[in-house]
Amino acid sequence: MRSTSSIHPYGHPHGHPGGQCKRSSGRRTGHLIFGIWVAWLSLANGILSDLLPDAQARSYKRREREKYECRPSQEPPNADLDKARRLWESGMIYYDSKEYQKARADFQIAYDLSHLPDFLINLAQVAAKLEIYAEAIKYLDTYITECPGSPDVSIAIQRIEDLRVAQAIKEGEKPPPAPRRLPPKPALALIGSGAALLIVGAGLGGGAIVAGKQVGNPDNHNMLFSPDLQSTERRGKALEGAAIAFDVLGAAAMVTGLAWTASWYYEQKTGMSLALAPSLGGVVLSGGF
Amino acid sequence: MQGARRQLPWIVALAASFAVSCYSPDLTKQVYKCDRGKCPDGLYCNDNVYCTQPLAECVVGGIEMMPGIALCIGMGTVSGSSNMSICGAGAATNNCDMSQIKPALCTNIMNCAYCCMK
Repeated sequence: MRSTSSIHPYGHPHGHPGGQCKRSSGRRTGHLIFGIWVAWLSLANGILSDLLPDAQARSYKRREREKYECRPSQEPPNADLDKARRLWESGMIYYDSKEYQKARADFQIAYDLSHLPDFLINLAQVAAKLEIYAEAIKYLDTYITECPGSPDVSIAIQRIEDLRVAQAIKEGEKPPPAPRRLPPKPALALIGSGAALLIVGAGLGGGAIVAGKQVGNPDNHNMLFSPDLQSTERRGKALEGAAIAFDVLGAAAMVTGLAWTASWYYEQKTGMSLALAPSLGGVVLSGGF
Repeated sequence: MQGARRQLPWIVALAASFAVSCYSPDLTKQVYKCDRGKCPDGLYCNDNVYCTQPLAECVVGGIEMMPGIALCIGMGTVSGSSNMSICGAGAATNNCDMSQIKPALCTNIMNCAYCCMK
């Protein structure tokens, strides 16, 4: 597509302004020629020429940009334009040798120096080569913003659509690592509530143990089994009963939750089923994860 | 599963606490007197004085200090004999290894003796 020997930044045969909006001042000649050069670069990289018929692309290469095409920007110093030109040259060499990262770096600096919107197309093309489609889309979006009146805006929009398709395909091929999934909330809730019930049961059991120690105290030898001790015994038994109830419920909840979690880990099952069925002499409760 | 592994010590600790969380007073190291007929659970009021339980080693009742070693309170007639005794049939104080019996709880208790089976 491109022939670097046919066009020189400072030797465009027609002298048409291209990359930036048309200037009226003669002292801007260098910049205007450079603008043409950048416009050609954009075509050479294929973004537009891939989409346009050859005749149209060639026509575009020679087209002058009108003032209304791009938003006016601050004129960079000539020294910066020279640097940008050199960077363009090296960037093109890198591009031709498929060293897209280096080409991208040069084009980016060239754009930062010159603010020529045509470089955005170059950057978009390099980003597309690097399969950084989001970046390429961003560059083209910026280009459309910078040059809303450019006739190639519709092509750029189409190119964005193509890049989005490519991006979707790439993401489909390499899905992002799935975020770490937690077990089902009910399972975690069962484990948590089971642990809480067990803790409460352990506390109650501790109270029962203390009561038992008080009743079993050897110092009480040959003493009356007083109402206080009787009360302690009643309290100890009640605490024991409550502790057993809490522990049984807690253990059941925790075992259920752990089994559910284990099932989820191994089989990625997320639901639980319970069934109540009539049976001889009663009903049968069955379930599964 | 790492989370479950981290929780395992807690689960074991809770299960252990569940296992020991019983009201089980050690009633082998003291002898209670009845209070208006009330005794600790598992004991009954012996002659309305002491809280004991029926034991083979004792004629009336006593407290099992260790397996085969009982502290017996109350005197009665051994079945098949007219002799009054504290120890039941087949049990005698002489059978007891007193070095194992600590503390001596019969102090200040009437009709009290340790009785052991052969």
